[in-house]
Amino acid sequence: MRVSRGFSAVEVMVAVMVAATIGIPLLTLVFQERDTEQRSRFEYLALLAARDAAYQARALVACGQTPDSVKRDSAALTGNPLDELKAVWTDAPKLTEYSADQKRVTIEVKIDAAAAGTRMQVGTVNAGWVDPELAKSEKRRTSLSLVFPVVRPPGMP
Amino acid sequence: MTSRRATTIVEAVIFGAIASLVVVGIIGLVTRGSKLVDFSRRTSATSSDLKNVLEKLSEDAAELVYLDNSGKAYDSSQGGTKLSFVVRSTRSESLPAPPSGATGLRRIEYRLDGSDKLKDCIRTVTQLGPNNQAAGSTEEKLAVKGVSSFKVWPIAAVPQAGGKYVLSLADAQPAGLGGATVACLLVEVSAGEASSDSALESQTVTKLATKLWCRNRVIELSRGALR
Repeated sequence: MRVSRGFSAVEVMVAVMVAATIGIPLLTLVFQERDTEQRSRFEYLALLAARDAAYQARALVACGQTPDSVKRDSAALTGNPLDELKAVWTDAPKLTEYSADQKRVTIEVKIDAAAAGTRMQVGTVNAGWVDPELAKSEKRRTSLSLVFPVVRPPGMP
Repeated sequence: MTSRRATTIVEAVIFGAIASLVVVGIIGLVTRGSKLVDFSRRTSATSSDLKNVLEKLSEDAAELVYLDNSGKAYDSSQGGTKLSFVVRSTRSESLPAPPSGATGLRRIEYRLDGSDKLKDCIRTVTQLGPNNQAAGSTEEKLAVKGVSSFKVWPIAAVPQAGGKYVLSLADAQPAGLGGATVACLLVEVSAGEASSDSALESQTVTKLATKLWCRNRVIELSRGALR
């Protein structure tokens, strides 16, 4: 008669280790893929916001605003996208608003003062997509910068 | 001959509990893992659709010359409507060789197509010949069953005294003044991925709002060329 002796503790441990060796990297891959996808999404949202801010600054100066007035301190996108145009559109309607994901993007616009008073000045948009405090501990990129010119129309003071 | 003792009831309960936890854990991880994979795939596809639509529209807006439909806003929920405008462009498109006397103008149309909640986004380019006659067109799907709503409000720059400009909606009265020009498009687009799991489907629907600037028009304003 054949007697089944069951599994020993060592056999069970080996089986668990084999399963863990296969399972843990697989799960890590799943979570990494999710992380990469999210990062890519926020990078695109930041690029979109940075491009908008750069051309908005150019447009505002082209509409007769001074380069100094288009500077923006670092702040998260919020509310109505047309609110940023109030210098040239006092009663802009509220037609849409930034989504929850977009509100995690911060935008800062700087204008180089070195060429102040000349017709063309250089501006920089910094767009961040991670909380600046959190970004200090992050080793990967959490912001991007775009450099652009602002050009005063002829005859503008 | 070796002898084996039977497990005690306490050992059986402990081993049973551990085994149950392991099984529940594995099922949980596999289910959560597969949901995560599915969620990632869907949000990734949604991001691709949004990028396709917004990047192409951004390129078109950069070269925009004038708006059709008197600059009226476009809302995909109003059936049968199109976003239509004319650009001056030399970008590569699948178009026949331009006829002699062609001005480099192209009519661009965007529309959502389909009866499902998530629709195809279709962009049509029509080459304009002399006297703005159509001289060949091409069509591409920027998103397949991926866009749920698409709204565009054209915004115009209207000249003021002293060479300054103010902005207004392109279909508002001031935008009809001489010297007014289109400045940007305020765009709101929602995209997602169809799923049999409605909760998952609604989680992956993403809405974006942004302004796409008519870059060539902005440069013209900077040069003072439109005064």
